[in-house]
Amino acid sequence: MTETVLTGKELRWVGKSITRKDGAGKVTGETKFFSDMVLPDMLWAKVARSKCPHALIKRVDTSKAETVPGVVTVLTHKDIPGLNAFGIIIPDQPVLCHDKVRYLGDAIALVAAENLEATERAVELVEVDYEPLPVVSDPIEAMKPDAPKVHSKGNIQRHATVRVGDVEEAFREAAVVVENTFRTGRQMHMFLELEAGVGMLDSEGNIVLYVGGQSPYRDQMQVSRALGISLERIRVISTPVGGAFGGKEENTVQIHLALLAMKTKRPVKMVWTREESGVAGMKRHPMNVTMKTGADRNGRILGNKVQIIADTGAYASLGPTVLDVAIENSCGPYRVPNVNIDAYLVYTNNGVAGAFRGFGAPQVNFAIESNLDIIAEKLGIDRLEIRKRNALREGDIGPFGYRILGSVGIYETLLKTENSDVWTHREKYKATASKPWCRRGVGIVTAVKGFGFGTLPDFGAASIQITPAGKFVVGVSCPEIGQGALTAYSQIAAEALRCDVADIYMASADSRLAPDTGTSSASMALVRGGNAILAATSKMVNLLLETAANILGEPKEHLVLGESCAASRKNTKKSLTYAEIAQTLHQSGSETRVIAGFNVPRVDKPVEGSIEIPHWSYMYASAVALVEVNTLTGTVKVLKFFLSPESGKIINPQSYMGQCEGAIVQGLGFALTEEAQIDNGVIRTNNFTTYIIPTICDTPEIQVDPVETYEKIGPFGAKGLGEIGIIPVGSAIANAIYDATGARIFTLPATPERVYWAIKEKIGIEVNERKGQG
Amino acid sequence: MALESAELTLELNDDATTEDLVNSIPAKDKNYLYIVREGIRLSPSSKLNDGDEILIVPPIAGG
Repeated sequence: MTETVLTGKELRWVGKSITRKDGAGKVTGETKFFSDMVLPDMLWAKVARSKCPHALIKRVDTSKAETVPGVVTVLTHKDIPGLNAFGIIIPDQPVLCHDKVRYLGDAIALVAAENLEATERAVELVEVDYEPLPVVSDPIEAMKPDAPKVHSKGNIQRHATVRVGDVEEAFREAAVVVENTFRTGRQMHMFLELEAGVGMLDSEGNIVLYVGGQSPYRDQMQVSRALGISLERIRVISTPVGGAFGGKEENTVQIHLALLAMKTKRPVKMVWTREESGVAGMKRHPMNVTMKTGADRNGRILGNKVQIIADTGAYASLGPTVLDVAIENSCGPYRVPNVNIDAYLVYTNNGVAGAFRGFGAPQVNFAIESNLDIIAEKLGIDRLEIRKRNALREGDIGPFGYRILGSVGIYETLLKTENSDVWTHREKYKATASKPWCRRGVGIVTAVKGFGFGTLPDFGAASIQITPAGKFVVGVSCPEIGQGALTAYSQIAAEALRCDVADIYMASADSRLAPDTGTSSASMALVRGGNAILAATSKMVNLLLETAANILGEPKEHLVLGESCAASRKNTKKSLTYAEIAQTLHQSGSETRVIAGFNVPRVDKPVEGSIEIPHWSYMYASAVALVEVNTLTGTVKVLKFFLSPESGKIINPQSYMGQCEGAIVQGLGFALTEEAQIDNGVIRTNNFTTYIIPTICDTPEIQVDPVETYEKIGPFGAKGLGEIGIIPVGSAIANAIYDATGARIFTLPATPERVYWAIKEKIGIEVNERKGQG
Repeated sequence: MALESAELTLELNDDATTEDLVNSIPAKDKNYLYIVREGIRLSPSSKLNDGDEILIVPPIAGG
């Protein structure tokens, strides 16, 4: 039935820049987030956190905290009825620590009080006796057998090995082999709305959580596990969200709020401070990537040997799969026949690392794109040309020995890039530096990342209810986290149901109102949610036609959907509006809601040594950065940034551009300024005064020129998008700095100090070379 | 349960439910497995049909 609706007509809503449903409220500040929520009789809550980065707990005494006027309750690990642990993949993080703390953010006690000031006083009065342990702050040191153990099983949480072909033989055959070590920083999400929410009990004693997150059902599961109560007794409402970027995929305040609401039987609100978010919140994994890459004299990559050491901090969170994505992307979107990868996920006392837009890909992209530039220079091959020669094509065997099933548009994005203004006129732009001591350069790179969970099983469901007025309520649990998903979902539903997009109402991100559509993560919300909606629209169309057929006395097969109506193919006067059909359904007491879902297509078996490699389909992009480097200070100004993603079908061009531009700006921070400095377990940069994110003043002229393709597993041919724009930014800027100065950057962010010393080192090498030549 | 995907064929009684299925599979932690049919999560009491293809999803996420 769906086919009669979806084919043979021009698309009315899909592909149009429909104004964001949630846009006006967020732009004007009228949208109320859960951190703005105030309820009658509401308590405030705060976490008493560890003051030691690594220590045994000998005693916890809350008696003084309990005496603070206004304090209603103080909870410790003894008050947790279920599993005292959380973690999406491996529940290794205590809800409230009882015997050991592993980082400064570890939670030890919870305070609920009549006002915020009382909570602040009380957490300072929670007495903890510590027996300090040596702090493990260097992941390489942490891997040594005699290193102090963060967890009893050892500090190597995961060691993954992936082997394809014979990389040593490839190096023997290669015309050039380069080996370098690259390091990337610990980026923080810095969302405007901090980790926050309100927990309460409903009239039946069930827990209701209002917490901006990335998956209400995963939050429900983690709360259920910790409190030892059934899933059905926990309702999670996850929207609106004031920014997430992966940092709200893991549990933050949910379990604590649920515990306090159960204990006090009153609404309880918790809002982390910015500094608390810096201490306790998720961060991007810093990685050390040692990469040895060999190519033949034509620049074709023959082999890639990679060692990845990822610092996951005190707990695993999503680190095991972040490591897989790093492995998978370490060979770029290139034909690499021989691969040898060892990847380590290592515990330290450096906060906690987890999901962050790009999920391990930006770190390794920096390595492969730098090595490829070095190879191109050694072989005298143009930087764009070497990428074209190695680019994967449709139906190719990927670097891990599997055939790529989804669309592959990387070569086409390179063609777009070749014709872009910034690349075509690069010599003109490079020649016009603003000061005599400034140098300009361009960097060109590519990027790749799978969307979805690879070989891990995944699914999504959606519901659609027709209202008495003939409009539709669409239930999807993936939250809108700023990516424009709600509007895109509405466009997909309106297109398939042949109604006005204004007639679609979203029942979103509420575990009581919408079926489980999975997470808003892995650039997958559009594809998973959109396909789930299409499955549900198919059932709804069937319901509409069957009902209309009964009313009109026509065989269902003779009917077709028009604009918000069902009509006879033979006699167009015989038609019923959706409102008329809906009235019949509602008056007869018939079912007015349908639910349907789909299993996400995946390759059955993961590559040996991996958890989720390969993905069924991938996002691709090429990018160019034009920078100006002040050689006296080392400061880098990005002047232009060009991005050509392979896009699949673009559902909403305006949202698409917003996603790309946002990703590029967030990537600027990863490339140039953002690095949470942790010194012996103590974070030194935990607010906007010391942790510098890009502003509009730092934003370059951005041009996005997508290659529109058709992805066969996406709704209307759409692909994932959310992460691909950030992945090439660091590497493009690093390569541009080299082009400008001849100084190679091996550590991101490329802070002024690092760039300055890289230039000094390069000058020193040149001086020594001249001396050597006598 | 290992993270790797796998397929297995199960023989269950005619009136088998999701709970029966969970009890019959070799998983370590069965409390929070999602049992999915045609993209929709089933409740523990949901009746299974002959020939159903069931997706067993540990509550994890990748990227």
